[in-house]
Amino acid sequence: MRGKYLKIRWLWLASIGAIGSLLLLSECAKGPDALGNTIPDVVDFNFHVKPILSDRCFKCHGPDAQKREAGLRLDTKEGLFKALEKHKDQFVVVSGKPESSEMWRRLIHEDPDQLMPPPSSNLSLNEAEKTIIRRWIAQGAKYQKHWAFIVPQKSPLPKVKRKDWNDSPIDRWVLTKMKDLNLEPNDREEWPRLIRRVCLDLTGLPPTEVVMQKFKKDDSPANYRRLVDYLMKQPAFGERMAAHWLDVSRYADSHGYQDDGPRTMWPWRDWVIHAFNTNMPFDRFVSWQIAGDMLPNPNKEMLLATGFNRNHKITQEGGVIDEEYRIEYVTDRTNTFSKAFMGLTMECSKCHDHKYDPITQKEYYQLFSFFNSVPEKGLFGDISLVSLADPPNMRISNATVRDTLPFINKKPTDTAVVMIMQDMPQARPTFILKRGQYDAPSVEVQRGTPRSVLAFDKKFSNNRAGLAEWLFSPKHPLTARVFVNRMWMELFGTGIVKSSEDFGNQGELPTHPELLDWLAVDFQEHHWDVKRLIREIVLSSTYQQADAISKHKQEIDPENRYLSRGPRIRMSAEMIRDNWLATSGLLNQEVGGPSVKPYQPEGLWEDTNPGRGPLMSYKQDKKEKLYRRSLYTFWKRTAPPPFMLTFDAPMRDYCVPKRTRTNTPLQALNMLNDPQMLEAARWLAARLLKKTGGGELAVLSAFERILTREPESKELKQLFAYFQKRRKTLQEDPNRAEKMLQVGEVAQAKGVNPFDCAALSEVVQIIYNMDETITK
Amino acid sequence: MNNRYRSILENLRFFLSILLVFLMVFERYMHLPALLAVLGRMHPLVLHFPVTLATVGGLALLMPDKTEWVSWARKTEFWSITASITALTALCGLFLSREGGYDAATLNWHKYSALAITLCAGYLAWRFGRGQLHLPQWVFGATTLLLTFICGHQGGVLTHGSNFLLEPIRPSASATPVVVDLKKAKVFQDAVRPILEKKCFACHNPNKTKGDLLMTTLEGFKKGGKNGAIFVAFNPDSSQMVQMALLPETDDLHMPPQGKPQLTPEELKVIHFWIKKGADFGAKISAYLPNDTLATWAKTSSMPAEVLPDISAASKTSIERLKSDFCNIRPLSQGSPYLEVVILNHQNYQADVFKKLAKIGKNIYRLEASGTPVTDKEIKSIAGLENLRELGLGKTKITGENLPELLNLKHLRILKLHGNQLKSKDVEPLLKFPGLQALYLWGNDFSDKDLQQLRKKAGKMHLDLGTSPDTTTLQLNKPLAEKPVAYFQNSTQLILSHPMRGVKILYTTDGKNPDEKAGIGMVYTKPIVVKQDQKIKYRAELSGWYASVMDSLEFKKNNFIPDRFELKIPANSRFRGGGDSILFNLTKGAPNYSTNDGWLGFERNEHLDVECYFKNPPEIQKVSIGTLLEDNSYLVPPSNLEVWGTNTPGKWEKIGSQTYPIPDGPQYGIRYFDCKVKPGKYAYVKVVSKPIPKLPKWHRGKGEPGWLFVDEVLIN
Amino acid sequence: MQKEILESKLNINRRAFFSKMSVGIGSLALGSLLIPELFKGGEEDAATLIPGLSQFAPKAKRIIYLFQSGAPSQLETFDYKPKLREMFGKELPGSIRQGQRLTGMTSGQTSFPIAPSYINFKQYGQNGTWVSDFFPHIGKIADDICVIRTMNTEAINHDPAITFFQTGNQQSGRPSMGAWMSYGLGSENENLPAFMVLTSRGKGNSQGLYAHLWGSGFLDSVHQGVMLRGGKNPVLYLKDPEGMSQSERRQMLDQIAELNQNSYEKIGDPETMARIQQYEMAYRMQTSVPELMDLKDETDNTVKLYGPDCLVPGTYASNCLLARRLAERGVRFVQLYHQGWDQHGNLPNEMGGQAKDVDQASAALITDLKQRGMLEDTLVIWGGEFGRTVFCQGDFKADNYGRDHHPRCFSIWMAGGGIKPGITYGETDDFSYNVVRDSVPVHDFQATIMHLMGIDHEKLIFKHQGRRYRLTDISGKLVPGILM
Repeated sequence: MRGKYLKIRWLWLASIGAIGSLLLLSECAKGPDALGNTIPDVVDFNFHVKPILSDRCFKCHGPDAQKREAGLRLDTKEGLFKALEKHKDQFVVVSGKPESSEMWRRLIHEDPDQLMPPPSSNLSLNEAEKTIIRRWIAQGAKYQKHWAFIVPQKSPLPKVKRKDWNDSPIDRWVLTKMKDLNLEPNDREEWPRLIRRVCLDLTGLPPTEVVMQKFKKDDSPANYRRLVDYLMKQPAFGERMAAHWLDVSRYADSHGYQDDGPRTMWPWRDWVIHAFNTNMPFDRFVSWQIAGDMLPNPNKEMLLATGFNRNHKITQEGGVIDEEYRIEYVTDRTNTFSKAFMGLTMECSKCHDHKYDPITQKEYYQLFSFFNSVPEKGLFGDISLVSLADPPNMRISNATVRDTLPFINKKPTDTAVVMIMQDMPQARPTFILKRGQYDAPSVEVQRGTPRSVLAFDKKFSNNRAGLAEWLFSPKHPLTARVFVNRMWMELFGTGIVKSSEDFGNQGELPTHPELLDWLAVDFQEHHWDVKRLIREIVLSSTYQQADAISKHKQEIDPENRYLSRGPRIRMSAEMIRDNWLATSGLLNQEVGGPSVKPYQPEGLWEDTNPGRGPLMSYKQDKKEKLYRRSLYTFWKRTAPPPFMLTFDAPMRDYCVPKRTRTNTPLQALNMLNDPQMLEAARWLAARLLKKTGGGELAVLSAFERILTREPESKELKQLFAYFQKRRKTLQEDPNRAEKMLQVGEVAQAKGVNPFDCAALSEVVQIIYNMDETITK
Repeated sequence: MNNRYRSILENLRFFLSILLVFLMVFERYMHLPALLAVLGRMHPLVLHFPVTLATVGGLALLMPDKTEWVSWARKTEFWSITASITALTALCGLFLSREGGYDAATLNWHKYSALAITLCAGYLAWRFGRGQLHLPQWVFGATTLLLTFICGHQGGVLTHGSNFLLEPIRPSASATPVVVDLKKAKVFQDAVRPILEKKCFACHNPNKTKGDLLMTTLEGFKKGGKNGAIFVAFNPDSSQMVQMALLPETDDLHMPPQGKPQLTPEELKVIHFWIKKGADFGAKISAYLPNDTLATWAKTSSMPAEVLPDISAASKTSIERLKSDFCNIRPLSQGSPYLEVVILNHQNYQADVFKKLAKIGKNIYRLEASGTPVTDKEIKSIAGLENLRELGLGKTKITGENLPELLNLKHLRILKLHGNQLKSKDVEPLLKFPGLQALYLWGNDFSDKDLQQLRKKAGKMHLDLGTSPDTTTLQLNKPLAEKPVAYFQNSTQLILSHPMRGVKILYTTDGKNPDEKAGIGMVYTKPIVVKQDQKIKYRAELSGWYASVMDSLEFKKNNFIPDRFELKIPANSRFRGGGDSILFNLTKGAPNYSTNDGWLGFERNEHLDVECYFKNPPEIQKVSIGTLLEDNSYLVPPSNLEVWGTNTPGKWEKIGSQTYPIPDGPQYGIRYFDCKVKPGKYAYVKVVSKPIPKLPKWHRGKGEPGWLFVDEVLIN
Repeated sequence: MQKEILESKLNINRRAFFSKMSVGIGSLALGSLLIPELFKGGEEDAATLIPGLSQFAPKAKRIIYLFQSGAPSQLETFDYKPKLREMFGKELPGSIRQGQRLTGMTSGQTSFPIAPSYINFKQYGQNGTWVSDFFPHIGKIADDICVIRTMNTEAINHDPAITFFQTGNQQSGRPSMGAWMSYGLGSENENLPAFMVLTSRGKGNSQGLYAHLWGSGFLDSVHQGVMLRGGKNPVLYLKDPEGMSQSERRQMLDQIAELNQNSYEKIGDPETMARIQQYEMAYRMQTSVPELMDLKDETDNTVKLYGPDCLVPGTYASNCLLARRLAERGVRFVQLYHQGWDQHGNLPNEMGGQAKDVDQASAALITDLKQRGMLEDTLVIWGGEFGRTVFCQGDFKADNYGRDHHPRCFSIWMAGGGIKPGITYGETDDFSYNVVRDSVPVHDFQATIMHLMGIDHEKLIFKHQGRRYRLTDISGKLVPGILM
């Protein structure tokens, strides 16, 4: 009898145990998603609650007054804690009491007509998000202003145990955050590959033979510092920094729109390269571009800098309405100013109040009015006029270059007239345009800036010069953060704030907020010194880590947002092509000057041109112009260089501060059959054959020349076997080798065995097509 | 349990049973005070106790009296408790039923079975007290269980409707939307009623007719509820049904009541429309078309034109394993278990893919294998895909003998067999296909007789035999000249080609028009080499086509290209073409001058004045210029052409001049103007040509200056 | 002694405990069967569209868009206005114009003389569809097409108007319709891109085309339109260098793959493996595209159907034939452009030439698709970016006149893919100036196309810079009237 009872009692125990574990399992089955953000114990308004409210509620309960439902706004403190319109006794949020908060009741309501967000909006909250809201209210519903609108402060540096991660503030913040996710940093990258990475990051070019001889032997930190300083002194540094600035400033060599005639803006590009090379402080660099013509006694260089604001598209289509397109140009300047320097999507508030950020349509047109007084016309002249620079413009004569602007690489025969900014004596009145329509002005507005960012202080002068002062005032929360974040993105692939083009409510949150603020404040304290900022980042241990990815790290942090490994990203379009030219020795290092037209498949311009104007057919340049760096390639807006488009360069129709990074079959075809690459391969093969006499040594030095590291024995064996097999088969068909060596226009190297050369060039093509070659 | 409690219990049981019987007998005369109505509302709360107790008790009576709890259930106290609680619950139920609105029959069954349980429990309590039952215990166990089952079931029906229990597994009528054929659908039957079914029948059905309104039957719906008819024909706005739907939701009269699924705007519009059109129960939808409300309802209602039976989805792993370079498998749409399979003509195509597809055979809705080397052998495995609706076997290697095997594809709707080598006898059996809507047979070798026969037998099936080949003879297009270089220094060649097979290209070099029938002209076989000025005419010919338009190319020699040359007067700013270099770049300007940069234009005081320098002076006899004539744009021949030559710079000596007659009519196209020169060697040559200052009378722009367009200066 | 008893009890308990554990685990396993989601993680709720799959059963599987760039005049194509003949040269009544926004070319004009169509019309098909004599072949297929006469747009210039039609927004920067389809539905054939573009040019006054018309905007650049051009290099850099055989290219790819595999094992970057896949896809395209371009297997009848030009690369006719071959191989969106329809002057002769280029080939494409059983699930669209004015622009003669841009009403036709055949939809006023009934704005046109492809246009979204972008932006209603 008793045994039976024992059994039954155990039966009960087991089943209770089973049910308990079942519940436990279901709890943790929800588990952390990739980035380990389980539902946090302490909920922070800015980091956990605001992103949900912004994305799912602000559309109907946000700053846009016209579209606001039930008079309820959740983007301000008053709105959140206000009493309901219909029932004065009930409140949207009652801190500490979720059950009596109308917001919570509406989130979990059964009836589809009461449920928020309503099904018709296609928006919904998942369980985790609802729990976060509930826990926030329960924990007292503390409200904070948007993080990006609070002026950055330097917070005290955390202590870290590891000695080699203790001196740079960057390392200390990064290591602390890494520990939260129990990740360990990688050790330092092998020395040759680190040299390659820092050369590509600072000059856009792989290490030259000179650099390798000079720095390869000693991998000490001191020698690394000397390498960084050496690289920053090269003119290539200015070119590399200018390449990213051309995207931000939507630089192009043609007017765009319908007829897309040519324009000469290249002198302005030369100035940008010069500015970065002479380490012009960032505040002066930007102030000259915004208001160079309005600063006290502006010289020619300051006027040239204002070309930044005339880079936008200009129409030459006969029959357009002048005022409509003039308004388009001013709109473009306003949008570029807000996105390039403040990371704000103000273009949304051209037609209505911003739906997510506290920016009203009125404030948009207040900023708009700064740029609205240029004595320009929507349609200056149609294509037959072939106007290379619509007025107001500045002619650059040979004398000007000789005396004041020596950095412009202008040949006597080149015509150089550049569009610049200028304000009419009498400022044009600016009106709020209903729904952004050029012909529907309503209320007139004066010049001003968005209050939620920083009010326009009376002490600033009421023109673009004042606007520049406002932008760089110490009380401005965004300028330094946005630029520092973009430099971080150029070096690590992703910014500390992933959405580097949007710091507003809908933007992503910084993964290391204290680090971002520290860098921003430090940048301002050192008078906006760009080279010093980059030097700080590049010298950090975070940057010098090896880029190997363990299975564990791949699962926890696939995008390397917590920097537990060195940056490993595909090179930009410019870097890939420049890498071919540099490693093969064909690169023409000339700096600045008019844009050039390298190889391009024929018929691209002819198929789609409007049937008139000088840019109808593509006339490829000759000799040394074919081997200039990619940032000098002629940019026709309606038919940009196909190579650049395939590797994710933007169209340059408007400001695009961040490029995507894709992986497509067209890129593969491009890498396999581009004549520029085939020619570089054969030229490098010929050079190496002369230097090494052929054999395995030639294959080895080709590998090392391109990847700056010794090939593993397996790799060398594989490539050398391929080289020998190909040389044998090519000997059977002599004219085949001959034809291979005719690709491209550079003369064939003399005194080299054609079969060796052809076989080695195929080996070089293979190395050029390795994933490692186009990854930095 | 000591005696005192026991006796209290006995009395309580007895009292309640009697009260219950009494009230049930005189139920009709009962006036329910409000307080008791509240007691009635507690019925759903207490009813679960008697059910449990009676079941446990019944079960216990059926089991041998071994374990403790079974024996416990044989005690009188147990049954007294059961009896009294059952009675109490029955009383509450009685009070609740007074609120009305319950189906009489179900209610009676429920009521009397409850009474029977009470009495049975009472009897057991009484007999167990005495120690002996009249009948064996299991009889009472069984009856108690049976009574509990009946009472419980009926109660459930009263509250949740009859199919509440089995609904999940037995699809009730409204769950699977019936296939609606728009032409035959009726407004009330197929549009209005489904809405009422979803949103109103839950409370207005025979079992539960709230507000005395029965909507499930036609006359009930017409009769209306306790305050009269709920719709007024032709007058939706004064129909109660519509008014109540439009009340604010918080209003108690608002229908459907708050908390229940609400009417969507589209549904309300359809009801409103039906009443406005006279609330006609028989009218067809097609009678009211074209009408926006109904059309929008038909198009955007989620009722797909074709409702597919629900089948289990194929496993993801087997799909992934079947996918390959030449076989692409995708779901028909999001979440649909049906798949569409596309087989491609690819070098590593394997014929056994169709056999392998059998694994997911029942899920395949569409199989497209046109243009692939499918053979008769595969037809058998294809015929095994029972749910196939669309099959594409155009341009394959099937010969057609085992086509009838496809007949057992019961659901096949579309069959494409175009572009094969089928005979009409292979195809005839397919015409008897049950559900087939479209059969595509274009491009097989059927005689006209076959075609009529097939069309006759096709009946309502759409038989597409394609278009009969267009018999009108068309004109060939011109042969293509590859990179025609019109100007050349010593020799060049003309490469001609034509895209169509079997075309002959004829050409002449003597200026006559080539014509094969007239035996003029040679047949082009290899590129034509040109060494001196020559005009080549060529044409394409092919039997069954008209010969192509005549095309010609004029080759001009430009023997001596100067090492350096300079244009003394710049060309007109609007027609500077590709710069002065075009004069000697051996490329011909294209006729539409405005859209290419091959021409230099001269007008009014501008004229052609080019000085050339030769390192080793050539022996020249003739200088000519290539010009473009286009009368309506004032492009006219030059007025003159003069040539100066010298070996010492600056001392020019005129070595040839030529004036040209004023044209007497409009001229179009490219023409060359020559000027003989005093033969000799000259290091410097100056060529001057002026446009016509005043256009002749006949010209529409008479008196205005003419234009001179030049694309090349030829020095020979 | 105590210890042993305790020991033995412990053992019994331990042994019993473990035996019971098995029962416990068993029940747990059973429990998990009943709660499938428990261990699989929450599914993305079905409401939002999973890219790559149509939402409900589509009527059309693929689209061929024959875009007549430059805007053919509706008065000389499908919008027959016989009454205008009597009003030859009369002034257009002010009431009709209602302060219409004019382009700079005619806003200076003082008089607006009415220019009736020089070409006359005939009725075709069972429902008597009016088609001008410029398009006899399209007339013959009137029973297969649905003519929409009341399209309208807001843009009055070419660049914004074409960009608006292709991307849903007048300013450039957003993905084109083809890119949205590739993003939303993926491709039926992995060996070819999902979205391909072919251009051709007539002799008439032409306007340019711009890369952003078939760009991927903020979508992944794998969705951008791939240009297919006549000549030996149909896709950029497709052909291997002179003399390299396919097997040699295969060897080289194997070498690259082996090196990449080695670097993947060493460093572990998944991007490396993805790149190997892309090289394989490129290799497959090197065989699938030439096979597509090789027209040798087309019968003489087909060449006769499309007209002899269909064998001349780069012509409209050859692009139509290629469009059918692309559709057969499962390409999702084929975009054709024929330039040259911008007749501001010399309309009768220039438009005659343009019509001759496109008439036979467009009709042939419909007939060819139909006889291959493909018209049922292939949506074909023929049309321009806006219409042309009824009043004349510039000097005016009966047989020679020009028309300016007119956004308020113009005609296109659609066929197949669930479109109701053989009808004319919508009505314009006597001057073909304003829409009288059934207006079809551009966003509604786009919403209807997406509906036919099985997509709810409000559900195909992409979140960029915090905003949920759609092809139809913030508007777009279904046009049930033209659905089957």
